[in-house]
Amino acid sequence: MSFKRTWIKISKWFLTRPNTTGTLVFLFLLLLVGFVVGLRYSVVKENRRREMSNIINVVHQNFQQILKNTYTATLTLAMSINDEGEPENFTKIAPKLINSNACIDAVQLVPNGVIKYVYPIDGNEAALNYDILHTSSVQKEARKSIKTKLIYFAGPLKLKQGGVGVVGRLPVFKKNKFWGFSAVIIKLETLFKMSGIQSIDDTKYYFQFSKVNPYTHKEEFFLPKKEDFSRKYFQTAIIPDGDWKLYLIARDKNGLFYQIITSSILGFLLSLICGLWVASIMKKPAKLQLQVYEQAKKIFHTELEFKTIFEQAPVGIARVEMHTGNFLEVNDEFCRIVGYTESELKKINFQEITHPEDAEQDVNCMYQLKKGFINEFTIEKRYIHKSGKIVWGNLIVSKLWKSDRKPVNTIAIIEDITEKKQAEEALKKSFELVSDQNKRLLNFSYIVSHNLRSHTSNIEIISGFLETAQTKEERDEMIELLKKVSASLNETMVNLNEVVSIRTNVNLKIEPLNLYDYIENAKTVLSEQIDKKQAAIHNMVAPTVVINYNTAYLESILLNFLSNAIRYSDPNRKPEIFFTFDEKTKALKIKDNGIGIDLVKNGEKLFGMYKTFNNNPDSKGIGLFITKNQIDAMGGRIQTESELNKGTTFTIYFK
Amino acid sequence: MKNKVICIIDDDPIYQLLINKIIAMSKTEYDVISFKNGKEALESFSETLKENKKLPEIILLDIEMPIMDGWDFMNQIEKSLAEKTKKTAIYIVSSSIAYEDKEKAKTFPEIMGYFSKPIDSNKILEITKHITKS
Repeated sequence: MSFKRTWIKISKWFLTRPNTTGTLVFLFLLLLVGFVVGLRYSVVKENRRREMSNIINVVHQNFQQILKNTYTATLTLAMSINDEGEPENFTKIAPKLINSNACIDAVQLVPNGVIKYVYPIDGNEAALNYDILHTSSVQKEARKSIKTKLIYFAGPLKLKQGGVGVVGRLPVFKKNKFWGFSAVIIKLETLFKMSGIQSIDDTKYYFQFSKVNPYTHKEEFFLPKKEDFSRKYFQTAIIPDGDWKLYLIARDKNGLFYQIITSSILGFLLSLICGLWVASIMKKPAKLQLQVYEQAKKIFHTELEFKTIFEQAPVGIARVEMHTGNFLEVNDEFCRIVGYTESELKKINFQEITHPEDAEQDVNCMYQLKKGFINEFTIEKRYIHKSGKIVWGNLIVSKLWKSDRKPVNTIAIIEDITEKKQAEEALKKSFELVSDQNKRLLNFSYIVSHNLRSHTSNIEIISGFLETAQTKEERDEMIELLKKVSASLNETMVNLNEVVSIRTNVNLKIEPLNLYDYIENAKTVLSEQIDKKQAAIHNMVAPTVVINYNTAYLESILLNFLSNAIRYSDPNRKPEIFFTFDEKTKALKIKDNGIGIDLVKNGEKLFGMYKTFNNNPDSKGIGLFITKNQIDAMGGRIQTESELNKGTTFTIYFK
Repeated sequence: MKNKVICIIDDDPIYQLLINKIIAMSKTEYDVISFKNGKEALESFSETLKENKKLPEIILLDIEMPIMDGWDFMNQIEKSLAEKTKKTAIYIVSSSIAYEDKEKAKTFPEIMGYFSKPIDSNKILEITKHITKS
């Protein structure tokens, strides 16, 4: 676990530092390349060493071979010397030796250090009688071979007969006494030619051939390329028979370097490219990493913002569990609207604080949301505040899941519209009031226009007739009619006066009145009619019921309803009238079993002025109109239920 | 006995009396029959039809009446006597001068015209002449 964490840490460290990582990769690869190049260098070097060693060995062996052949020749020559110290058949042997040994340019016999016999004589005449033991420039090497009694190759030196060559001298002893030398001359040119020095590929290597001068003790070089090669790579072989030193020198000091420089540069470039590549490909993740970090920061900020919005919003916001309706999260405003604390709300669901009348609608909408029929819904609903009062809210619910996912949570936004609702309610009430008043006003103007005009039009016609009346009878008839019109006009004016007085009377005296007593009172007033129709009046109002009302109005209302009920009783049955009072709604019910009213036809006109619905000569269509006006003036209302031939029930809501 | 009939449907007894007098003075060839409301008129019409007699040529109809008002009467006519009143010209004669009433009258194709009270013999003659022409 901790290893894993460390690993993540390390990889993160590297991931966020592409340049460093690139450099590290570069350095690592450079090291690797260096190592490989080094390895290769040593291999190449070893190869060269081996190659040069092979070449020098071959040449060395060639030298040895030449010297051996020379030695054999000198020995053969030495054999030709008889016991008296005289060479026999020199002229025969010498040519044979020369012919069989391509490397030998000339043979000599040098008795007592003086060259006496030379073959071929042509070109070598100058060497004859040359006393080598007494010539300072050559005696040292000659004496050396006498001393060692072994063949010794002197030179390369300038030959008496011209040119440069080496002279191999075999000291010959006769009867243990030094006789002289058997010598061969090899021209340097020939020596080098035969040794194979010249046949070697000289692009890579070249030979040098040296000897330490016995007189000057300085090393002298004999091959043409006489440069200082001490700083170059070389190998040596020593030929002891002539104290010669053979050098094989690598021609190019930097050859090996050039071989590895290419791969080094290549390797370096490769490492560099790799390093850059790693850096560049890692820059992307680093960039992404940076972006991720930026995004995370943004998300954090956004979350903070949203949280602030959620908490500070001037509307109530709640996150609600889809299936149960439980509150998962609520903001302060929501708490304020419903009056519960956050912890209280988290224990309940929305159904528990919803007004029972609105619960069904809300649950139904939630169901549709859950089923995916809708994505959101807006309803106006009532909440029950913790204190018990009703709070109106405009609720917007949206789902918090994608359409292809399972329903989980919803977000609800609740705006407190209680005041708005109250204002609306008040507005509605005042609108109702205004439209009601308007209706009454219209009704009144209609009354005025209709009822008064019907009289005035009659008067107009009558006056027209009066003008054209020819006989007294006619005139009297018209005056009689005019009196009638005048009387009914007067009645209309009285009624209108009464209505106007009700409507204009704003400061009505209101006092607690015993309803039961007032009903009894009305019964007494109408006792004559009641007796006439033998009606049964059941005053079922509790004697304790007290209502706040205007005395005159209550009397008038009760008288009107009771007299109506008696007047419009069904002649086929005994009239029965019930007075009941509902304490809860403050409503008085007056139920009769009279002829009833067709409410479908006449419902609207029931309380209009001069509206009558039957042929009863007493009906003037003014009673209910006045009653209605009185009830309205007291702020109450009236409700009618009726069925033809069964009876009518008026319900008076006092307030 | 004249063979043409004007039918007055109005609840105002004084008006009934006066209109009778006006028609009589107009010297038309029409008889006058009167009803206090729409219901009475309808009942009388169905009786007439039973006896295979013709309906009145002209009806002067008031709007405001108890039991059955003018509108109700029109609705009933449309409902049950539509075919039978083709030859009957119905005029509204009301004391109402309300715009709504005049407009409402136009919604009934059977109503030929609207007159506000008072009505005089000139108007009666106008109506009868119009009927005779058509």
